[in-house]
Amino acid sequence: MRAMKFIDFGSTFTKITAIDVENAAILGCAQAFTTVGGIGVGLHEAEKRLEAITGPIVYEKTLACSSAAGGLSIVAIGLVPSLTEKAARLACFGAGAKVLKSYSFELTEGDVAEIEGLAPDLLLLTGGIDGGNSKAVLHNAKMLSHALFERDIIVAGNRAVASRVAQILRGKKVEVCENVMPAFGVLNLEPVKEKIRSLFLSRMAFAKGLDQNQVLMPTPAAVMEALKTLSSSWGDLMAIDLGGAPPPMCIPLPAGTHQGIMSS
Amino acid sequence: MIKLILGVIGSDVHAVGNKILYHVFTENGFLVTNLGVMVSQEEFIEAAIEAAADAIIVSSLYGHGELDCRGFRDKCQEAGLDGILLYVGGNIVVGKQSFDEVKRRFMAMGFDRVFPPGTSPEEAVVCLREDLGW
Repeated sequence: MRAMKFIDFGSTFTKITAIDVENAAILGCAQAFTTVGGIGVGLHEAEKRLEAITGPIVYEKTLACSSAAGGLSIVAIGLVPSLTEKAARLACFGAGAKVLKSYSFELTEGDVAEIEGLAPDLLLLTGGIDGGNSKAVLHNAKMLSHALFERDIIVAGNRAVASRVAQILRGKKVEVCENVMPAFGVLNLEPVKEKIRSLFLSRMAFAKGLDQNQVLMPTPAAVMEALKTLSSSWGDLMAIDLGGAPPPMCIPLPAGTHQGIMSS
Repeated sequence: MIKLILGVIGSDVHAVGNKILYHVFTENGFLVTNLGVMVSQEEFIEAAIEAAADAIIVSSLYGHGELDCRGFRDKCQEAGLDGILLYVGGNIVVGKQSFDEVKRRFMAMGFDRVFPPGTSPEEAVVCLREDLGW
């Protein structure tokens, strides 16, 4: 037997499943309330309940995903609603994030105040294909440079002005990424998805009281990865998860595209 | 670099002329975003915004260009594309009509240049250079 422990830190419950990966068998499942003050308290309780079912087990590995504390919230900004704004939203969904709101064209003072109020975990600023429109993303960077927002800002717009945008936002935590739409109608979501995921692990998961060495990815991203793995042998799949929060619906697209649709 | 948005408007699927225009413009040093066939006014405009285009080149061969082009300039202005060059060319009206009259109607719609059937692509290149001072 090779036992592994899988944890899902949810907003309500911390769920654990013990699996014998050698024999592909579930050894036991248990859950306890997620504890807000220190997430370890709830985890310990769930572990106790699991051990009552399975007896003492030496685990080879422990992996976790998390949607606790509301998961990973993002505000996405693009230029044209059906183009870069949509691309930005898709990148967020693909990374397992919750898009609190998305904006298009030039941000107003009211928009910036609204973003401050929404207080997302991070901001994704896009706009313009490479070598295309730079006015909007530069304007939006200027507007955000005055915002009361201390979290990470991912810049993934027109490559021609990416460094100018980063310069305007100096003083903020800025991460520059490849453009989400480098040419008209061409999506390039992976770099932003990877950046969101790594920021989630290195900063946000830790800030939310999770052990960054344990948590691999936000729960919706974990669901998507699981579905992609299953669909490689089962064929096309659609999964609907009736959770306490808005249920995510995931549709992994055919193998090779490495894209998927995720909606909440 | 001068940036162009190119496409065949409306429900028209005539692709050959579109390909020829794409090659000629590209060979002449323009950066072309080619939207291909069956392109709506909105798609032209959205591409022009994201690309910060200097001109939109509209083709039509199936005779219904006049219907497809109505209100195009107004929508450009609404979208903040003030002063963007709008060219249209091909077999853009139904039946055989006096081209001077056709040209007048399209100019009144806000197009900067109107080209009759049989225009060589190089003529459009010359006009673009002239209009954009390039």
